[in-house]
Amino acid sequence: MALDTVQDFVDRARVLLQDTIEPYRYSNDELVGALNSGLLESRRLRPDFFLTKSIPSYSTGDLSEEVTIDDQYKVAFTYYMVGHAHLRDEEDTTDQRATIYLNKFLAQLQVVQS
Amino acid sequence: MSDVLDRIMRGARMRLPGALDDAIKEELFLVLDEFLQRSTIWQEDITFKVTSADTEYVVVPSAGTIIRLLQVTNSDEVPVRATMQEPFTIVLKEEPNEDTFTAKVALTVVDPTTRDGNPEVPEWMLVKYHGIILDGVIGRMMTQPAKPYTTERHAVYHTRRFRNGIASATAEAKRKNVHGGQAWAFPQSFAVRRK
Repeated sequence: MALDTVQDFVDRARVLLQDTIEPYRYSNDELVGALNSGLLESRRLRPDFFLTKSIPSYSTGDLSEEVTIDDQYKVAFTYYMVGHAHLRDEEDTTDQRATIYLNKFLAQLQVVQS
Repeated sequence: MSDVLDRIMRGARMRLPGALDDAIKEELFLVLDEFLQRSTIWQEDITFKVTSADTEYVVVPSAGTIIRLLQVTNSDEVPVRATMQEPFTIVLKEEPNEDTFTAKVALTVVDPTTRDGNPEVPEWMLVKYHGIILDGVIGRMMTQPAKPYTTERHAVYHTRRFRNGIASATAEAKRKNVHGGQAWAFPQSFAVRRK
């Protein structure tokens, strides 16, 4: 599965969240919002992502819109989306999963061995 | 020129895992600027007409921007005393006779870059010094904090190679790329002419 459009990112996150069957546990709005939060976070960690462009912001209004992130970091943002979604839940296991995924996002932006 | 720049970009990508092309191009511009400012290898002869009515003249290079005035000579190739307090403006020490002078200036890169974000530099310079330029780019990139390619030890290594390369290029420029050539020539203004 390619990671080109907002829909692709949402679909990939749903696979990791085991939320692929409707009615969804996590709405498209939540997941796209998580993607936007990840972009803001990445601006702080990796300002070189946005040297020649402003921080993009996506909505559920057009899920076919292309996500303009460098290919080598697209997977990292799916991890952020999954971790961000888990933060909504209150169970201990989901807290751990949220931490794991968010840390994986941070690591992939800053470290090679991640 | 794009072939050489592509080779520099490929070399940088190989040694800088996780580096973005935009970031590499940013550092490439700064590396080229440092290389040219220190080595003075990019030079241009600019001719300009002078009259006795004026001692200040504006010269504009065909590419890049002027960083240093190296020499001004008259039509007989005799050096003329001049300064360049502000870039592009040559101020002659003495009022000249009507003539055509030649200003030899040193240049460096300047914005805007080309449409694909590459700075404009002579292709021969990139062909000859692409290895040194690559070392400079890698060294600078590796000093960036909190990046997958941040490596202090390798940054020192590549930066040292870059600085050594600048020194070599400077020496070659002084000798006009002549193997074993000397940098100094007898000043023509001392020449004795028969009357």
